Amino acid sequence: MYPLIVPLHHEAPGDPTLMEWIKERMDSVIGLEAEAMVVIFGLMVLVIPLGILVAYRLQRPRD
Amino acid sequence: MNRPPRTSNIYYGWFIVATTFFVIMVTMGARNGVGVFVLPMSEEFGWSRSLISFAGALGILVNGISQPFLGNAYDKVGGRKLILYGVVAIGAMVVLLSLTFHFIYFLLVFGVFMAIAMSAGSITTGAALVSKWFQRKRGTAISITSAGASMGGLILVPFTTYLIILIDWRLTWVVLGAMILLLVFPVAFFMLRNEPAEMGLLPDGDDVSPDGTSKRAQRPVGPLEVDEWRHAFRTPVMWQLCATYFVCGFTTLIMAFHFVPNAVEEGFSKGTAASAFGLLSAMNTIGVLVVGPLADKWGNKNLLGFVYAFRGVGYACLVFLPGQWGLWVFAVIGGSSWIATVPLTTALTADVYGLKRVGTLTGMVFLSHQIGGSIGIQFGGIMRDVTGSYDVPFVIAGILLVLASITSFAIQERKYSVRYQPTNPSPAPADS
Repeated sequence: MYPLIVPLHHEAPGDPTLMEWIKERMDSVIGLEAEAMVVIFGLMVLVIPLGILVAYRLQRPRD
Repeated sequence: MNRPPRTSNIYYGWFIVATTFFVIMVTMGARNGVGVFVLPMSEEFGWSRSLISFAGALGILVNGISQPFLGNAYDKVGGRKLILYGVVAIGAMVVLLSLTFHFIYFLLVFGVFMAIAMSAGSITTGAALVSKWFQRKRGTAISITSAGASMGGLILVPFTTYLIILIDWRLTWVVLGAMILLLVFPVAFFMLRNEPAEMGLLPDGDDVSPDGTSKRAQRPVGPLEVDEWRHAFRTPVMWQLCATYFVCGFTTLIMAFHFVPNAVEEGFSKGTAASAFGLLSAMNTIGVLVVGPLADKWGNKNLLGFVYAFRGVGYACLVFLPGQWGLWVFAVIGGSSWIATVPLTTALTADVYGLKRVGTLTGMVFLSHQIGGSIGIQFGGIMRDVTGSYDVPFVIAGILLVLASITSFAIQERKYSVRYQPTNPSPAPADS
């Protein structure tokens, strides 16, 4: 068996070594607590659907 | 058909693109984040990494096998309904992973049921849905949708990494599942529509005149457009697409599994190997976003041939360039070609065979990709054990890419693709 990686199509696999490296690199570059990082990434997720709905609302034709 | 109200400034198809992008980003990001769960779950249950990787490998196969069936369901019930069902099922499965108590349970939920659900809410069904909304800008639209897979890795995986520090792994699964059920589903429910005709629109946002006819010439019909998916397999293009996508799966998944181990064996640190793979992953997004507009301008098959050749050059660099050069050059070249094949292959399938069976046909092509990937993963491992290095499997992967490139260039796109068919100058009904 080979190291755990779960690629579903072409997307980046979830290799634990890569995960660990990404986290260490982000910690060293950004230096924020885990709580702050969760909030930042959570907001990045949240902003997309909000952006879609707001954009749709703003440009929706008015009958 | 009723004349539509004054259309909005932004063509609604772009909202479909944004919504499918978001669906793919979150669902695939949540699933790919499983790597973060390896350590805590292994510690709690005493599982080895190889045991969990078995669930992942099974998931790849199940996902590939189920895709044609879900694609067929797509053609029958429509993309909106299928994707919505898929999103609910994926969300439920993610929540159920929090209740894991035995490996068989994890295997069934993650490796079987979630893999099937992913076929419903996947990059393939998302791209098929987007195909119905665009014709001239199909490549661009699908490339943006496909980029959701990369963005899922870039945003959701770090999110999961930090979340698991704050709360335990079970609650992290619940949070991810809740995001899918409470955030993705409502947006998909409100925004997704099966095709432009449902809203009185035309593909690409073409104008509809007051009498309900299209201002553009009647849309042409390709010579190979099919009503039954089986008919596509009587033509060479389908086999060419399946063959090249098989190579795509072989050459991406072999690298996804063996890139880091190969780099470590070559004497590089794990950090260097992981950072090179991180660069490769980041290049995904750039590559796929660049290739879509180019395809709309220059056509799909030549670009597809170029992408395979480009990836082949990356493999050659990896094997033959000295020191770290090979690793980094491959990360750039291989990464930029990684997802670039998706919009090109999907757009070609839709352009040649039409939209009636696009779900089933893209599912079939995707199945060949997953078969190639499964073979590539095992082949890489076996050849490594037999020969003592990854050089032979990587050289073979490079040769396969040359063949895939030649095969892609040989596709008769100008003869069969709808985009090159002559148009009827008479106006057509808007819902034709």
